[in-house]
Amino acid sequence: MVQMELFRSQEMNLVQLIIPSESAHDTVTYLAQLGLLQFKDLNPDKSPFQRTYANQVKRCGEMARKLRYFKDQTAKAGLTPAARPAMDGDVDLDELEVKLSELESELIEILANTEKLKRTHSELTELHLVLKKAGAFFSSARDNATEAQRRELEGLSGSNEDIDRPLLLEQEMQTEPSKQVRLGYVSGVVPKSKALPFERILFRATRGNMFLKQAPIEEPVIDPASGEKVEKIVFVVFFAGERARLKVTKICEAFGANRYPFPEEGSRQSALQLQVASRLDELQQTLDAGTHHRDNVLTTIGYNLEQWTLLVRREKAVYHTLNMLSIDVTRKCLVAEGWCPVSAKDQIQDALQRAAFDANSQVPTIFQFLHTKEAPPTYFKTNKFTGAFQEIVDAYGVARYQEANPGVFTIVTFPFLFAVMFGDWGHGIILLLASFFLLWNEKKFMSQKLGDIMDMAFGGRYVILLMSIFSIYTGFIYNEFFSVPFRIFGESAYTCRDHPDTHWDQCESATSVGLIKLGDQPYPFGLDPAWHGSRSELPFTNSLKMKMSILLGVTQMNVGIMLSYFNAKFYSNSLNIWYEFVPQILFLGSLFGYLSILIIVKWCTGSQADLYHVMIYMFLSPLDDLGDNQLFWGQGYLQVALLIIAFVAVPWMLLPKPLILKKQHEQKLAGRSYGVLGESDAESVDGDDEHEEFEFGEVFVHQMIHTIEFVLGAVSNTASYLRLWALSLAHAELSAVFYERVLMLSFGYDNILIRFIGIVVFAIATLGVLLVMETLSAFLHALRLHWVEFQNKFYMGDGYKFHPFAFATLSEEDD
Amino acid sequence: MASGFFLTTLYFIFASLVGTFGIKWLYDKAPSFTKLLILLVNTAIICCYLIWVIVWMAQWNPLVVPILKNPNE
Repeated sequence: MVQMELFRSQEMNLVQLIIPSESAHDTVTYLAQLGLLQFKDLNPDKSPFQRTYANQVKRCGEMARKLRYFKDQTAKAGLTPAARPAMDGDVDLDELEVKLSELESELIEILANTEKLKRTHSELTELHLVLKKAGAFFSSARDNATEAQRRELEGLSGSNEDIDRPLLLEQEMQTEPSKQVRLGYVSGVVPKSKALPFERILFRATRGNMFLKQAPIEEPVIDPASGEKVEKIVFVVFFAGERARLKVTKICEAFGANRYPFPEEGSRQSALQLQVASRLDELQQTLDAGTHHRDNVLTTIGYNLEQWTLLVRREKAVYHTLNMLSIDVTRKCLVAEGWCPVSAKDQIQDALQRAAFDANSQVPTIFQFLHTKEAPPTYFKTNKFTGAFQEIVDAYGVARYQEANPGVFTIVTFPFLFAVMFGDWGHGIILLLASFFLLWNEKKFMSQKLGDIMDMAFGGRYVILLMSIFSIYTGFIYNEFFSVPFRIFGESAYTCRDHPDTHWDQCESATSVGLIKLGDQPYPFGLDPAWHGSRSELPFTNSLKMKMSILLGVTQMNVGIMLSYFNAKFYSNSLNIWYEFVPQILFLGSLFGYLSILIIVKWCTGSQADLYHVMIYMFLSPLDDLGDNQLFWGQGYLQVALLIIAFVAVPWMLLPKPLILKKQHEQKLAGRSYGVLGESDAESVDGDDEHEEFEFGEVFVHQMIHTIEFVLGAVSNTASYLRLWALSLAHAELSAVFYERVLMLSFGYDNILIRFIGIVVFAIATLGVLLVMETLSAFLHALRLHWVEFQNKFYMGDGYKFHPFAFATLSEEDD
Repeated sequence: MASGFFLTTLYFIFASLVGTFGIKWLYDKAPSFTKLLILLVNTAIICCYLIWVIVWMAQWNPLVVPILKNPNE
């Protein structure tokens, strides 16, 4: 019988490859292209530096670094690399290495030169500005000075005519010109933000014996040191004496003010200005040429950057894997061990042959199976549809090797339970449109890099598709379209008591004692439209949904216990069948299975029995007469019988299994006592000791925990399914509120603006609260019901995933 | 008795048969995959039938009836 796909993980085999050294690299490369072998690390105790191919890995790392550097520089230069289609020659790794180092040194040189040129350029620009502004000071100052001197002289000459002037004053005035002190000055630029403290410190340092003239520069200039645009001012400081000069110089250095020499004479000023202007022009041209050259180099690199990066990454991964192989003593071949699916045997052998042929080696690779007691990895062959659901299951725990996979049922029951909590076919249609959008653009989104949230939504596109289809179905069942009921499946089954033939619009008793059901038949499909908006809607729908949740929950849990039976049969564990599966089914069935039957009987007979009462008094006083709560003949006897079965099932789960395990272990030991010397672990590859320890205490405690978990869990898990009721009630109420209190309220007015605002608010509220929040909420709770209530009946989930070495799955983080 | 009940149950059984045999005869993939698909289709049909039948039975002999709201409320 062909086994159903996905139900159990693929059969895996431990294989050993003996590869001759010359074909090792090609073999690993071809196996990586195939992607079906998970290599085992045969040198776990060697540090990364002791391994054989450590040098190659280092070289690849260097090359990857250079490629990253190129990428950064390209991004900094603002270019977008346009990849030329790959020239298909296999680029040799050594050639590539040489080429990359050449390109790197060239690029570094260009960049350094450009830096220097830029610096000189900005210094010259600053000098130019200093010349301009300081020149303005000096010329205006000179004008003022000559003006003042003229006035002085006039004043002097004017006073000569007065004979009464003291003689000393004349002498003083005459000797003044020779005693004129020469002022020194320093000119430069300083950042505007530091101008005020600069001035203050200069003032303090020279004890006020200085004169600072400053003029702001209109545009920010590029600072030579930092390369950024800074707002600066031009300053000229006048001081007297050598000590003052030293102080001023030091202060300028401290403030990062660049000093530029400024000639006094006017003619030299203009000559210098012309010189600076022409040098600036030259520099600008050189700079432009340099940038152009750099861009050319980067563009040429950019053509091949993607291809080279991919190649280097793959080579590095291949060398990492080669490091995991062990070298044979004779140094002529490498030994590899790994897991591969049994079904992939032919493909792997084919790849090995091709590699041996391409590497021109005389000896082919030897491929053989090994036997081991080690647990193989779990491998599910999923396609893009089933893959999303399998990931949901794996997120909780990867299945043990070849145990029953809950993912098979999850594909249907997860969207179904979501839909039970979401039921509204209007919202379902919107979800469906969203999933169609994702599926329509599947190819485009697959190759793009999406944001985190969009990535998750796209990964779950098939899940959303199924969720929406089931939601439309449950929407019809609950008869809700944005909380409005429709009469798609016929007229309501209820009519007025007073005049049954006409509609209940003019019915008086409808609002007091209510409608009456016409005939025997309920509404043929789903919930009767008469219920929505009535006063007794909640008591009815609450009862309906709670009982539905219990029934669905008991069904799913029983399916879970059945899966544990299939697991036990597969692993040939008859202990588990007789001493775990049977008592579990009996316990759950006698209590909650009985409750489910009571629910169905009550619905079918219309009895008024109180089921809470029945269940509680079944435990408290089982022998009492049931009275009004009797649903069928013999119920009392049946309840006592079920109670006894449930009570017996508990020690049945607890005691026999550990005792039998203990007996089995003792038998095994007794049978072995003479065989110890002759025992040899010839076939097992791993030399681990198989510790045949058996701690009875541990096993018993483990069984006790398992029993308690199941017994208490039976009650708590069944109650947990009531969240199906709770969330569907919340959804219905929210939907009704938005419809009635927002949309209908706004439509009560005749104003078109109010109606428009009402529609907008309704749309936003529906989208944000119901379609986003409720979807996530129902998703989460359906997930929890699967992970906990369904899977704890049978799932071990302690396996590890199959991670083959494949080029396809190499991520960028490996760099 | 309840003819609507039997008729609809028949519809569901019919859908299940159509699904199962349709997949078996028309779908051209590996037998293990068709087995999976048949299981999925039948699980879906059983789930859908379950809620339909639950809602149907709950309304068959109801203990409360709709009491309409006053239009002036």
